[in-house]
This record gives sequence, structure tokens and C-alpha cells, in this order.
Amino acid sequence: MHPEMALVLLTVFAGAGQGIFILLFILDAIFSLQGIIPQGFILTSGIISLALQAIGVIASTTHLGNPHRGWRAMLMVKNSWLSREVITLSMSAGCTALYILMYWKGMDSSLKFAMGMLGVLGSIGFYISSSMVYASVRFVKEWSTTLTPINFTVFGITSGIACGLAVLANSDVNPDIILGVSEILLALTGISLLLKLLTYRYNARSYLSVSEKNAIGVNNPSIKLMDMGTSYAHYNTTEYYHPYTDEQNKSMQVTVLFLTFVIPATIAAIITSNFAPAISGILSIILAVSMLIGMLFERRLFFIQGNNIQNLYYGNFRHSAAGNPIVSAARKGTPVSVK
Amino acid sequence: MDTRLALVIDQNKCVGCHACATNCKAWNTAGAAGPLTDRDPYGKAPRGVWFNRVQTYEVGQYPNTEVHYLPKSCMHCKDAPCVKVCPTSATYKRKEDGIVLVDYDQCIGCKYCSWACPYGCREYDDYDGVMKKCTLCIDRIYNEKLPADERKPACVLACPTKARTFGDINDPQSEASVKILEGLGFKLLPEVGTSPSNHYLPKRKVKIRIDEDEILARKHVIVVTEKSSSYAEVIAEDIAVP
Repeated sequence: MHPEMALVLLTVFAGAGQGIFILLFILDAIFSLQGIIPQGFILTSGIISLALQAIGVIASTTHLGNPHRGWRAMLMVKNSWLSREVITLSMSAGCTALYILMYWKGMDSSLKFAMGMLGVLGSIGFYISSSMVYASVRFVKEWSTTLTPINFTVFGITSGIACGLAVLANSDVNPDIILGVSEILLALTGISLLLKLLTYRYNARSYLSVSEKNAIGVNNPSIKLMDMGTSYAHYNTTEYYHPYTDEQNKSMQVTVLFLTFVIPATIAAIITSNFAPAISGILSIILAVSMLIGMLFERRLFFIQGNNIQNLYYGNFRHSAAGNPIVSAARKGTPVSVK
Repeated sequence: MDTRLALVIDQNKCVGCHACATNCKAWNTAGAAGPLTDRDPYGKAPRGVWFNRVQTYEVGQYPNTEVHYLPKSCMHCKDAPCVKVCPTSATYKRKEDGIVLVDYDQCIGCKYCSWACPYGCREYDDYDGVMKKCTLCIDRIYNEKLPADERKPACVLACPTKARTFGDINDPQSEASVKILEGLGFKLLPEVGTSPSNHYLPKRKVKIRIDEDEILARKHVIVVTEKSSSYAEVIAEDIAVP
């Protein structure tokens, strides 16, 4: 698939913003009575969370052909994951704004808590619905897997906590809380790395049981597109196409793994093992920036690796079939020996 | 049973002339579904919206190759995945005749429906910011101002070889249904479970077996020599009868 930058920004930034909100809500709920979470942290991280979600909302409207009708996307909540995505994003962004406002004004804590809970529910709902937008497209094998909603949820929370840690480590907070958060972040980054490796393994082994033969209805292993019906590219040959080779794909995977997981995990491990307030602030900022940039690459690669079945018609389908000897042999037209 | 309007395309007859595609473009760009925007139409990189495209494939390996034409427009699937994913219900399937349509006034241009289409039959109009697709010429087929024999999709009327048939495939007596039954009509990508309404009649190899005693019984016989899988070259030869 063509990597649509608006959707990359939406899913990464809105997801990270919601992750920050989940962290600040939990810290505020646990430590508010003790008064050890400074107001500066809640307000700064809340504004960053809101700003990231706003970037996501603005990016998503630039993706639309008719943004002025964007509100209509909420209408089909019973059918469409896209409707649910729009509703949950609005819910989480609205609740974040109200929560921060209530905190700033020092309003009733039970109402604030309820608003926070709604915001967290909206955030989790957004992780699931935004990922199901892709996972429910069953004609893109790389997307249509349980790993997609798990990844979106875990990566969103992890990147949010990474951003939250950067604010926390630069605030006047009890070092034990910074240590605790960085330990949680280290564990989540490890889980994320494992999930991403599993996803790449799944992508490398996945195969399509249909081929050009089924697509055009001719029983011949050798089918070559001669003319796509136009003299130049059109929507269906650009929206589902990317120019990257398998080698470039693999090198992008390595970049994603390092920027998103390995570098942040190393920094989180340094903060956890040798906590020094003087350098933990700058280290946590490097960690958050590395993870956010890595997440942007990761989501871009997620689009690139999605291989829509309709590419079969336009000669753009990437056959890998590494994991299935029967499929690859049938594709080459060679007989398969069964031992 | 509900009406299910569809196209039946005979690949034995299709010669890949693109008349269906150009007439579709001409009618629909001027009709209720139009305009179908073109960008740089006379330049080096023309891009535009077409409801119907004829794709050409080479099948087999040299020297045993043949050309295969695939005119492809919206399949008007019975279980249309594009309808289910639309967040605004702009894409809908009509109960009365099974035609899948897009309401341009409700479409927000999110392109999600095109991702969900396994056939690549939806095209985004970046000028209007909406998704467009074949309407089965709904503004022709119910247009009582047109003569009855012209109330057919523009592509069907344009086809010079009569490769395209339009009709109700739920009516077993319709010309379309009879052609599917007699011509072993098939659907594209049946495995994906969308149950497309449009059918194709497969190319068939033409072979006639003539026994030796049949040759001896006649003075003149027609020997059919297979030159390709789609067209049989007929050569009349005099056979000397002993």
C-alpha cells in the first residue's frame, strides 16, 4: 500500500498522546492524595497529550476528500470501524481537554476522575478501533491479523509513556516514581520489540492462497499484464503501490527496530540501573524523540508492507510465499513432489 | 426473488477494442454520475476517472501464448465489502435491483471502501474529493425517455462483438442467466466470498474431432485447425475420395 502520511501521523501521534494521558491519569489518581505529583507535570504532559491528539485529528482531516463533511464519519458506528475510530478519538481528545481544565481549575475530584476514566476508555477504544480499520480489511493479509490491534494498543501506550517519562524526568518529581515509570517503559518496550519481531515473522511467512489465475479466471501459471487499460498510472495503480524493493524493506525493518525499540530500551535500562537526576532528563528526551521517530517509520512501513489483493490485477502484487513450498512451486508451474 | 442486475461478459467474443470503456466514459462524464475528471488529458501523464477499464494479459509462455482481455468494472457484489466499511453510508446497495451506488453528497472521500474492494474497481476523483464507480448506467436503464432497446448500460450498447449482456441473473429465463448457464459463466476471485454479480464466460478451445470414416464418406470436408485457443482458423480442403 502507498504510505499515506496523514494516516501515519494520525495513528502515531494520537496514539502517543493518549498514552501520555493514560500515564498522567494513573499517576494523578494514585498519588494525588499524597501531593507528590507536581502540578507542572500534569499540566505540561496534559497539554502535550492534547497537542499530539490535535495533530492526529488535523492530519486525519487532510486525508479526506471533503473534510467539511467529516462529521458524517460518525454516522455508521454499528457497521464501520472508521466511524468508531472517529468517535473514540473525539471522546478521548474531549475528555483530555476537560480533565486538564478541571485539574487547572481545581474542580471536584470525583467528576474529574469520571472524566479521566472516560478519556482512558476512549483511548483504549481508539487503539482498538483505529487498528481494526486495518485489521478488518481481509484483502490485505499483512494487516488482517490479531497482531495489528495488539501492536497498535501496546505501541500507543509505550510511546505515550516514553513521552510522559521525558516530562516526568524534567519535573520536580520523586525519583522513585521516575524509576518506576522507566522500569514499566523498559518492560513495555521489550514486549513491543517481541511483538514487532513476531509481526515481521508473520509477514515473511504469510502467503496468499489465490493468484492471478483466480483473479482473471485463467488456469495457466504464466500470466503477465500487458496493458492496464490506461496510458498512464491511475488511482488503483498508485494507491496500492510502493516502489521499495525487498532489500530496502528489510533495511527499513532494521531501522524501525533500532529507533523504536533498541535505542529506547537501552536508554531506559541506563536510567533504571544508574539513576542520575542530572542526565536522566536529557536521556529521557532522547528516548522519547527516538521512539516517536521510530514509530513514524514503523507505521509507514506497516502501510508499505500491506499488500492488497487487488494488486493482482495491476501486476503490482508482491509474491513472497517464502513459507509455503506448494504455493511457490505452483506459481512457478513446476510439479510438486510430496514426500 | 429480488432482481439482481449484472453484466455477463463473453471472453470468447471480446477483442479488447476498449469501445465499452470509452462509451462508458462518454456517457457517464456527461450524465448523472459525471463529470469523471481528467487531469492533463492531452499531456504526457494523463490521469482520470474511468468506471470501466479493459486490461490485457499475456497468458502462457512463448511460443504458446495467447492474449486475454479482461474488461473490468464494479462487480455489484451480493456481499459487498465496500458497503460494510463505509463510515457515512454513502456507499449502499439497492435492494430492488442489487446495484451498488455511491451517494456523492454523503461521501467524505476517506477511500476506505476502495481498500476493501478486492477487484480494484473503485476510483477516487481527486477533483470532487469523492469515490466513484460503475453505476450500471442507472440513469439509462430506468430512463423512460429512451427507446426500450436502449435502456441498457452504455458499455453493452457500444460493444461491437456483442460480448456484453445485461440482465437479471436471478431470473433463470433472462438472456444473461441463460448465457451463464450455457457458457459456463464464472466469477472473478470466487474464493474471497464477495459473491460478485458480474459474470464472465470463459475462453474455450475449439476442437472438432473428425473420424476417418467420416472423411471417406464425404467429398468435401472442413478441417478445423487450431491456431490459438480462442480463435479457430477454418480451412476448407478438398479431400480426395478413393
